[in-house]
Amino acid sequence: MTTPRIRVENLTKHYGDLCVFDDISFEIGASEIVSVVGPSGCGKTTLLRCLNGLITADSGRVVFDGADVTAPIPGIAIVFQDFGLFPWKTVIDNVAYGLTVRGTKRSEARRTAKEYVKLAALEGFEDRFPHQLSGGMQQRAGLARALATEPKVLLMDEPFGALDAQTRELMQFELLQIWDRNPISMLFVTHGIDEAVLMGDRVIVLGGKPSGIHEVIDVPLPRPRDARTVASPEFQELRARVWDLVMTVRRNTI
Amino acid sequence: MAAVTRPRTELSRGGRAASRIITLGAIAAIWQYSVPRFGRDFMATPFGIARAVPEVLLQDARVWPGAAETFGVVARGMGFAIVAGTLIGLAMGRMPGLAKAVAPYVNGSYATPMIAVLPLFTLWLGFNTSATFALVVFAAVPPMAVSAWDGAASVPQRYLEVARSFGARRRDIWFGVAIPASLPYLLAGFRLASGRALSAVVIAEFLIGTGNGLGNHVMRLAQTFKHDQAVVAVLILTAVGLFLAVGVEAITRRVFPWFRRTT
Repeated sequence: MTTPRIRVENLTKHYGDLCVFDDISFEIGASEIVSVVGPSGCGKTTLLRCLNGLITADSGRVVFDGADVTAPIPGIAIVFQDFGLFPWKTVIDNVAYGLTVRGTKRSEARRTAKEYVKLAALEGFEDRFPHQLSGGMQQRAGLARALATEPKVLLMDEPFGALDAQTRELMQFELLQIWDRNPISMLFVTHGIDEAVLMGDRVIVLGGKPSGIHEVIDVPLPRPRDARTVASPEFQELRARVWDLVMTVRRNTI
Repeated sequence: MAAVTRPRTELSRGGRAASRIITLGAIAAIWQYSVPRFGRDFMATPFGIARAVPEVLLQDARVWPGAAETFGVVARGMGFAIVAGTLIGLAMGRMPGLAKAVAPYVNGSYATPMIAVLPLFTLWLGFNTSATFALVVFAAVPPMAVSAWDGAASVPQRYLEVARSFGARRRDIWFGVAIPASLPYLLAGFRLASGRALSAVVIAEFLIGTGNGLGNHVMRLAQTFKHDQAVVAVLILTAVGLFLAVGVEAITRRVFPWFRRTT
């Protein structure tokens, strides 16, 4: 592996006396997808927020392209579990938000946003408001908004967790297709073990008290991945391994 | 069998209109019956008011200029209060330290009976529309500020997080997130503020007495025993008050289709 895109060194975070996670270190390479799984409350979401500087860790550092991350910077974008679209903005203006808020002219931002609206298969819905869209479409808009900033790292915070099972599966394969065309680094935080294995080149299992990296599993499944990947015996075997690990840490955490 | 929908406790549109007309008819009938029996002959009656409507609206030369003066002051005062109140409330909602420092004074001016400060305003500003304007502002800024404060303090965390994650600065969060997210609060503030503004303008016109506003006109009509005409002039105030309270919200829904929709 060449130089990592993002490097996490000895990251520790407390909330008061509660230690969320302790001494976490890992790297994400360029074009690598790292999945993070673990029981609820293991600090997955907090970890993700530390990676783009929304939350400051107590100790340790996050290094992105050679510089410390201390505040949200261009180049790292988040896709949120509850989509986080602004209800007062149309789809196109929501997708353009990451650009306009950093000072791009509205007309130019809209032009860029339009490409990503197309990429997210939302053409024709540009002028709709979020409440007029289904959950799946809202999250496609959330994904388009993150991608429109042309990030080098995408942080996915249980992005499909709020969707129904069918939509979730469809979105997983759509995301894989989008990634195949534009393979950027990704941290994929999820509850879903299938999803973690399907997406990731590696799966980090968090757990323990305080939470830390319990184990890292390589996922050598070939890309491009699609519905056939899920059916393969290799996938099933990896899935079972991750499942066992998560159940083990779960028992040790509770 | 028909599909089961939510239980219907509301009347249909036509039923609602009919029920309201019946209410109005009942009140008018009791009123019309009572005045000649228990009242004095200059008192307003429903028939008298109905007869006075065309007279006041079409022939009375002082009604429309008076309305223009009165509602002009309300409009200017509300314009000022919307901007100032929203900015004060926004700053309080987004800066808890500032809110602690300022809250007693905002709440205090909200709690002060507005009529009590009018003598002070007339001393400072004279017996003219400047004092009226000042009273309208005094009446309307606190409810606007308190509502904007509530709104700005309760912006959903997820919107703030999204904005920050994309690099929003304070200005973007205040004007790009906090204001649109608190639109329902601002509208509630507007309702309260506009009601108080209308009260303030009429109180000031009554007590200052030198102007030519609608309030002055109501007073003159009443004092010259033209009570039917006075009620018509009062109904103009009622109509504007209703429009400000209800009509503005309907317009807001039209202009902002996302209003009160969550995702």
